[in-house]
Amino acid sequence: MKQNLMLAVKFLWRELASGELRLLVLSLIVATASLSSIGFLINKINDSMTDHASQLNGAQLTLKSPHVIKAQWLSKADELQLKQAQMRVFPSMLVVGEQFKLAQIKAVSENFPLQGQLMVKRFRLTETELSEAGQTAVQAEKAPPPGSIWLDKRLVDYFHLGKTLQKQEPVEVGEAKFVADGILERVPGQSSSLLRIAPTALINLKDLDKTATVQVGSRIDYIYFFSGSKQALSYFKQWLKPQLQDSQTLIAGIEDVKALNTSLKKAGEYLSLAAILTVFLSSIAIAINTLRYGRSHYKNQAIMLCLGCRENQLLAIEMIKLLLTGIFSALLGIILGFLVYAAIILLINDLITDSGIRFYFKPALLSFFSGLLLLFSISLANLLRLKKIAPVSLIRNENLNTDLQTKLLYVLGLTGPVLIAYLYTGNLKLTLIFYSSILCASLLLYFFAKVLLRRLLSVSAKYHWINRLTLLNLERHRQGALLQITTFSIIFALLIIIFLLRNELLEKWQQQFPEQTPNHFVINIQSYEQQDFKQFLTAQAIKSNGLYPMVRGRLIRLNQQPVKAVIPEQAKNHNALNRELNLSVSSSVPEIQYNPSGQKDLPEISIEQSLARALAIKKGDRLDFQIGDKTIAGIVTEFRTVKWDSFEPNFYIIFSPGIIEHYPMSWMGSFYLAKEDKYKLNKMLARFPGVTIIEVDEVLKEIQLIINKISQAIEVIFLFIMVAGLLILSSSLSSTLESRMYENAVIRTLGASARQLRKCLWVEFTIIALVSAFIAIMLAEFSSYILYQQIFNINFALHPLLWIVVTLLAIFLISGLGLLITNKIYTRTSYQSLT
Amino acid sequence: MLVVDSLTKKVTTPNGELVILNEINMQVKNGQTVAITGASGSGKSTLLAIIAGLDSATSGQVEIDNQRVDQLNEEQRAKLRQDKIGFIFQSFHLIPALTALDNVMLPLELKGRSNAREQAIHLLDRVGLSERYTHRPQQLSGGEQQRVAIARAFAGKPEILFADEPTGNLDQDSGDNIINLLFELNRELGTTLILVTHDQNLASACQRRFKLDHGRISEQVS
Repeated sequence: MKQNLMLAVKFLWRELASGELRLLVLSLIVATASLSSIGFLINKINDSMTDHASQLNGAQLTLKSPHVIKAQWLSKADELQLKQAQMRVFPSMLVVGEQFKLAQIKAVSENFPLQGQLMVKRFRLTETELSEAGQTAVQAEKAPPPGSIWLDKRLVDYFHLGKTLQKQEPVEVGEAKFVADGILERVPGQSSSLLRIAPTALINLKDLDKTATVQVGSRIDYIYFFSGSKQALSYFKQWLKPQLQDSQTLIAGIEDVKALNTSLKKAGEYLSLAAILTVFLSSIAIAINTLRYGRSHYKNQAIMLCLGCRENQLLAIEMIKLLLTGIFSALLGIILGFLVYAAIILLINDLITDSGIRFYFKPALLSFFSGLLLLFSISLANLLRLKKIAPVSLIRNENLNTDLQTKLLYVLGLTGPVLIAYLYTGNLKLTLIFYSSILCASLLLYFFAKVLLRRLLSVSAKYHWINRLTLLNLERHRQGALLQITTFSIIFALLIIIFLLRNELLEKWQQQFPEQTPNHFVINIQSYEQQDFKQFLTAQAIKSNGLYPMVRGRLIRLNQQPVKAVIPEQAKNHNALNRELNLSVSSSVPEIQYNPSGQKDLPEISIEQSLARALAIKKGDRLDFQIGDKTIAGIVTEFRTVKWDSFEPNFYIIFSPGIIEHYPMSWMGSFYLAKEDKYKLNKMLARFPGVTIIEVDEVLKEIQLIINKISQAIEVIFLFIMVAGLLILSSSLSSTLESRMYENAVIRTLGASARQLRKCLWVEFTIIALVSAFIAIMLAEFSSYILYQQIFNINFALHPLLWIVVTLLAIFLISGLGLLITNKIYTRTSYQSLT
Repeated sequence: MLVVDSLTKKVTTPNGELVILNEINMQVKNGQTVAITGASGSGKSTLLAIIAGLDSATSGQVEIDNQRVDQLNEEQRAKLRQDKIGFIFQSFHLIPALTALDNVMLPLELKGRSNAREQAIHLLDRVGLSERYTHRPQQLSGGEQQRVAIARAFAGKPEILFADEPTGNLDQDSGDNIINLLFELNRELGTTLILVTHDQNLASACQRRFKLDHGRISEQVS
């Protein structure tokens, strides 16, 4: 064994040094790096969720409710000697001087958090002055003291707090003023686990009333935290569970949090697909190199047998070589993957709650074994072939490389990538759909490219556009050219689509709105303020379509049956059932015409069509809603189509007048404000400090920022895909290098100059680049047409500038790399190539 | 002692059965030098391959030191090649990724010899390549490559050395040098030398000469 190991190490070392294994190793590094970077990233997401769960609100048990819970529940917790803390979460405006920003306010009780750590970078107060120099290290804290507000770094940056202000202005929330003296690093119990759109501000619960922001109809989450003995918690949980409403969520552990984050899990699965595409492309490059390696080593292996090496010994040596190659490449891949993952975390660090860069063993190990699996599955055909090597062929001078079973190699080789895809997504259906689509798309593109290339060549030959030699080269290496075209068409098309999604889609969507489309929503207007607010809008010449009443209520029964019991199975997790809906009244919405056929004693209901369809609600159905501790009912008499992007207040449910007005309600509205009139918002907030203004352009800016960051992260992953594509190009060119050298040497002996040969090669690669770019552009334009016109209803226009850029990029990459690899052809003399 | 008895090799072609070797008989004593000559396609290389255990015969038997080569399985043949047989090929067949020294060390390492390096250095010195240890095959001339191949062939101290057209790819001078080297080593180490060649000079330097013609062998006596 030791002897085989020594021999394998010696062979491997020599082969690595001679550059023979370079492309194989690089392909494996790229595959492992992409898998490990995504693996690290997904673990980071999971970790973030787990982190939240384990120290969720510092509690072993968390209850989230859209309204105050029954006092007896808290008494029960007291009785069981459970420690308690509370949090209120709601959107509100933060105002500093002339600046304001929408934030997610969290008001927490003194003993928050019960478990886990609230990490804050505190400012030291020196006489009422705050300075950055006085900042202390990050430390674990309890709730902010009354009068203090702790802010997300994004808010600190936005308001330039702690950077430029020596004498700090107070931070206003509603009617209360606060001193900002801490930067939030980590808040246990973030309501969304990874991505946050609105930044967070933390205040003491005692200060909540002073703000006067929480009024009737306010959108607010009540979060209750409990900690204590396992037994007491378990009893409390069992006692509480049957009493919970659908809109109340009890989170007892990591699994509950994970269940709430299925969308993130899905995002992780789809992110894995990018890595799997890299694995697939890398495996093609590995297969090409393995074939080449197998061919060039057939003779060596026959020599070994002649020298007395036994078949099993040869197999052992080759296996050890493969294993060592795999280990070496996979380890390098994991290091590279970690660096890329760290770069992605740095890119999106202000979007995630915990931006620490940690190394995870599980994804590292998984990608390590995936790398080995990939290499061995592709090399299996080569290993099996070792049994068939006939050393006698050395004496007979037979063609030594005809015995490779390429079909077997491809079939066995595909098992590795498919298994890896399954390992990573954990979803067989998704894996099979992914591979069948990628194979079908590749086959279609392959045949399309074949037809296109053939047509191009025949036209070129007819009109003598390209010389005969280039035509011959393309004819002779057609399979390789088609593989390159197929690969690059897919890669370039994906790149274009991501580019358009990132840079154009949101902007185009915004552009299509008519001038003066409302760009501000205002919520939390109390009934007693309603008239004043309207007058304020008129006085300030702010154009608005009026204010709409809003009552928050939860759909609980359909035709007097519990709603979840009678709706279709797939609708049971519909978001509308798990939260309170904004209910409105019809008289404020003049365009609604009611059918007078409803039951006399119940009000009529107009319901948004897609919600009705999802819950299988028909006209004439009775719907019951819970508002606070009361229930109201109505009969569905109308389906409405709502255009959500009109930026007018829209409601799922609208009642006819009569009953709903008797319930506590707030008002909302939308209005248009040009940029130069934004100062009027300050006046509005000064006059009505309790209202919450949502600036659509600010929200879209935030969304654009998130899209940019995420697409940058995806682009980093796509770099792997691009490199894998370039490796396919390098590998397939390298596999033809020997025959090209021979052919070109013969041509040079007939008088061709190195310049002529170089030009021929350049034309050959440029044709490959042009065809790839052409197909990619067509694919991308077609996909964006579907995306724009059919999905987003946005006017579609072609992107001629992009065509030029992609074509030039394709020529630069494909022709550049092609010429680099084939450089040997004209730097070696004809004599060297022919002898 | 090498004994070949009634060795016949037939192959089936689209045009029927083709007899490549027909009832070949020969006996070679230890330390003898033997040349097998014949026209192209006369079956010389096939005969060499069968005697060396690289190919199998249709009928007949081959014995090396009273061991029936034709009855050995592949594993046993490998052992036989490792212990008793050396090869030299017309195209040298060195392993391109390995240096001259590594190529010569290879059979010794396959045998598990601990002093492989010293022995290989000694042999390279012996074939006049002291300055070429770290050169790769493509950095060596044809004659030098064949000298490395000879050093490799003698490295395992074989009892029989099979050489297939050892001068076929070399010029006159290089060829003469290789012939001299082969015979010197044969004398020094007492190795049986069985050569397949077109080269009449080389053939005439051997103690015994056999000619293959249409599958039949005859010993030429000068």
